[in-house]
Amino acid sequence: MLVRTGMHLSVVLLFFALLLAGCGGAPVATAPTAPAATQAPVTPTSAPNATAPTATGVPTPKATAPTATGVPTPKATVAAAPHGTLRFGFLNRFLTWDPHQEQRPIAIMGYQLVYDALVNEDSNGGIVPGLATAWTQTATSVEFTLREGVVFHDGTSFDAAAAKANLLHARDNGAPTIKQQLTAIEDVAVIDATHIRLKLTKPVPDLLNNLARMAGMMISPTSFATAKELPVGTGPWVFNAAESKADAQYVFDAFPRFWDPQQQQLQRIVLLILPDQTSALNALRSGEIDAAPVTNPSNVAQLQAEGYAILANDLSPLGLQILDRNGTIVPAFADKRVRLALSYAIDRQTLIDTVLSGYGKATTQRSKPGQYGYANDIVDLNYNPARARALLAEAGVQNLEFSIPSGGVLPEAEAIVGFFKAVGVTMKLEIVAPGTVVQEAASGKWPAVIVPLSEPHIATFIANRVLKTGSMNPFRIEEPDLEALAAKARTLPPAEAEPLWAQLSRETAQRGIIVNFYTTPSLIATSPKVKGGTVGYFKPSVLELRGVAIED
Amino acid sequence: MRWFVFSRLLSLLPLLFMLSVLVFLMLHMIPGSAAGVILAEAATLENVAALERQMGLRDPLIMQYGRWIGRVLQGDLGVSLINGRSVVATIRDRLPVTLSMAAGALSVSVIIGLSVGLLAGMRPGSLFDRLALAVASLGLAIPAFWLALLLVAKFAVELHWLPAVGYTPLEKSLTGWLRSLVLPWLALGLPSSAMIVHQMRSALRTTMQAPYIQAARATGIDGWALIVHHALRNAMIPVVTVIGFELTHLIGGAFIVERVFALPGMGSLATTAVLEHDLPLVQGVVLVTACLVVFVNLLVDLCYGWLDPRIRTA
Repeated sequence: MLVRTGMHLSVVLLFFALLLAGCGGAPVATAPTAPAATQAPVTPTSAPNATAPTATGVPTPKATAPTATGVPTPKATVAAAPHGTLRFGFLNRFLTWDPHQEQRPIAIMGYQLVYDALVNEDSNGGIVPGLATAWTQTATSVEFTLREGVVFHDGTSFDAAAAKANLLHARDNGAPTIKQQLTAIEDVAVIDATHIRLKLTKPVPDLLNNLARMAGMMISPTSFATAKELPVGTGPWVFNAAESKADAQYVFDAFPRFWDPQQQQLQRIVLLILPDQTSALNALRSGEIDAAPVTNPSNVAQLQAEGYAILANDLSPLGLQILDRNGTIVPAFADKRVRLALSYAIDRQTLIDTVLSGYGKATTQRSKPGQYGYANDIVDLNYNPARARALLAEAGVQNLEFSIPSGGVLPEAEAIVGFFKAVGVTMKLEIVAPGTVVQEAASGKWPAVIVPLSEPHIATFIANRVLKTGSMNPFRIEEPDLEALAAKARTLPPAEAEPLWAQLSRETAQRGIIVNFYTTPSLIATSPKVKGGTVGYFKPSVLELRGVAIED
Repeated sequence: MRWFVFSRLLSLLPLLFMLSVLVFLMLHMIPGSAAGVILAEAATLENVAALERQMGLRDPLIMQYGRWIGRVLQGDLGVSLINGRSVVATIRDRLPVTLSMAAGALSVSVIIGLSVGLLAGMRPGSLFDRLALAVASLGLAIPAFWLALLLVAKFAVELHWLPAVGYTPLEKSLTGWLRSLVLPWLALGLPSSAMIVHQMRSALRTTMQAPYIQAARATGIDGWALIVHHALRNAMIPVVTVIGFELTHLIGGAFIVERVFALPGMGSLATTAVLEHDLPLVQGVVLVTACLVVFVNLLVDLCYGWLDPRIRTA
C-alpha cells in the first residue's frame, strides 16, 4: 500500500512538476496585449448630462472619431429602463474590488460598473466629466465642481467630504502605484458641499488621467475597510455578492438611484471569468456570452464572417527603447545615426500585416494623430533600408550586435530580428522569465528592450523613459535640453504645455531614443445583440459598458 | 480494521512532508515572483524589491518554509499572496467542482468500462469483442483535453445543446449542474473507460480459464450465473486496482479539462496559483490533492479486503 501510495503521489508530484515546468515559459496573468486596430462602431459613453469643463487648463480632448470598417454599425440605443443581461468573457482575475489597491488597468472592466471616477477619459485619452462636472487646473492646484444628487449604493451621499476622504485614502493607503500617482496632493480642501480644491506640492501634468482611473474612483467612505470583497460605489450597477463567485463569475444589477439612467441600459451584467481565448470564443459562439476580448487578431476575419462586430481602439505603441544611448554596453549606440538606422530598418506595415493580421497602425512616435502631445512635424523615420545602411556606414559601424531581454519567442520580436539582419545588425533575444522584461530592462544589464509604451500621458512617458531620474532610464542618461523642456512643460497649463510635449515626443523619436513600431489594438468581439460600446483608452481588453444595450 | 486505517493515515505524514518540501523548492526555481504579478506594469526593480521584502519573500528559504509549516501544524494553510484570501476558504469553494467532475467521470468510466469489458470478456473473439477492443485502444490514445475540445465544438458551439463553459452549483439548479458537467464527464470518463475495458476483459478471460470455474461448469452452472456468482468477484481484483489508478488520473485529468470548460475547480486554481507564484495556495492545493490520492488508495485497499477474504485475514 505504501509503495503504491508513493507511486500515486509521484504521479501527483510529476503533474505539479510538469505544471511548474510549463509555467516557466508561460505568460503570467497580465493583461493581454493585443495588436493593432480595426476601427470601432462607437456609441459615445461620456456622461450625457455632463456640462463642459470650465476650460481653464484642461486639455481639450481632440476628437478622432473611429470609423467603421466592415463591421455592423450599431443602431442608436434609446432605452427607457434598464433591461436585459449582458455577459462578458473576462480573461483575467479580479485580485481585489478596492480600486485603490489595484494597479492593473484591465481591472477597470469590473470597476467601471460599480464605481465612478472624478473624471473620465474618452476613447482618445481626452478628459471628460465624471463625478466632477468641471475643473480648473493650475500648476499647484486643481479645483473640482462635483456633481449633485449622487448617492453611493449604500445610500451615503456623494459630496465634497466623500471626495476628500477618497483622495486621501487612496494617497495614504493605496497600492504603490496609486500612492505614487497621488503623492503630490498635499491637501484636499472642502470649499463647500460640491467643491474641493487639491493643493499640489508640484505640477502633475498627468493627474487628471490618473484620477480618471483607479486613483480617482470613489468608494463609499463607510466601506473603505470592506471594499476589497464588497465594492460600494456610485456607478450604474450594484455588485451582487449572492450571485457572484470568486474567480468564476461576478454579477452586477442596475442601481435604481444612479444619477444618469441613459448610461444604464442593461439590467444585469455578468462577468464570466474564462481562462483563455479558446474558451472565450467557444462561449461566444455557443451563445453563453455576448462579448469577449480577441487577443489574437487572426481570429477577427472569421468572427466578422460569422456576424460578430469587432470593437477596437489603438493602445500603446510597441517600440524598441535604446536604453544604452551613451554606449556603456554597446558603444555604437552612443551615435544617434546608429539608433536612427534601426528605425529605417523596420518595415512597419509588413510587420503589422504578418504579425497582427493587418490590425495595427504604423507609427514613428508615441502619440496618435489628434492626441495630446502629437508631433505633426516629425521627420520621416519610416522604412528605408538603403538609408539605414548608409547611416551605419557613415557612423563606421559594421556587424553591430546586441542582445535584448524577451519574455518568450514572440513573433514580433523575431520579425524585427529579421529586419535588422537585412541591414547588417544582429539583435539577439535572450529569454527571461515572463512578466520580468520591464524589471530586466530597468536593471541596467541590457542596451535595449522591446516594450509597450504604456504610459497613458505623454508627460509620464517622458518622465519614465527620457529624463535622468526615469525608472526606465537605467543608465541615468541626461540630455539637458530635454530636461529643461520637460521642466518647463510641467509648469504650464496643459494647453500651453502641449507644443512642448509634442516637441519632446518628436525629439524622442528623432534622437533615436525610442524606435516606435506600431500601435497595438485592443479588440473585442460582440454578438449582434449588443448595441454600442467602446474599447477603453490604454485599457487592454476593457469594453466600456455605459450606454451599451442588448436586444432581448 | 481501525488500526489498518490509522496506520495508512499515519504513513501519509512523511509523504506529505516530502511533497511539500519538493513543491516549495520547485516553485522557488521558477523565475519571477508574486510581487511582480501584483505590481503588473509598475513592476520596476525597486517596487518589486520593496514588495518582496514586505511580503517576506526575500527571507531565507528555510525561514519561509518554517513559517509556512508552522502555520500548517496549527491547522492554518495561510492566505493567498495575491489576493489575501484564505487558502482554506478558496479550496473549500473549488473542491466540490473538482470532486463533482472526478466522481461523475469515474461513474462514466466504470459503468462503460465494466459493462463493455464484461460483455467482451464473456465472448472472446466475437465481433463485439474485437470491436470493443479496437474502440478501447483508440480511447487509450485520445487525450482527454482533445476529446473535450471536440465535444465542445460539436455539442456546444454547433448544436447549442450544452454549455461550452461555466459551472452551475448543484444547490442552485440540479439540471444546470448536470448540463454544466455532462461534457466534462464524457471528456474525462470516456478515455478512462478504455483502460477499464481492457482490464475487465483480460481479467475475466483469465478467470474463466481457472480450474474452479471449470469445476463449476462441470456442475452445470453456466452463463450469467457463472459470471456473477463465481467469476466476477475474482476478476474484479485487478480491475479495482486499475480503477484506483484511474481515479488518481481523473483528478489530474480534471485539472486540465477544467481549463477547457472554464470550470472553477482545483485545476484552474492550481494553474493560476503556479503562474502567479502564489506559494501558500500551491502548497494548499498539493496537500489537499495528495490527501485525496491517499484516500483513494485507502478505499482501494478496503475494496481488496471486501473482494478477497484472504487479504482481510492477513
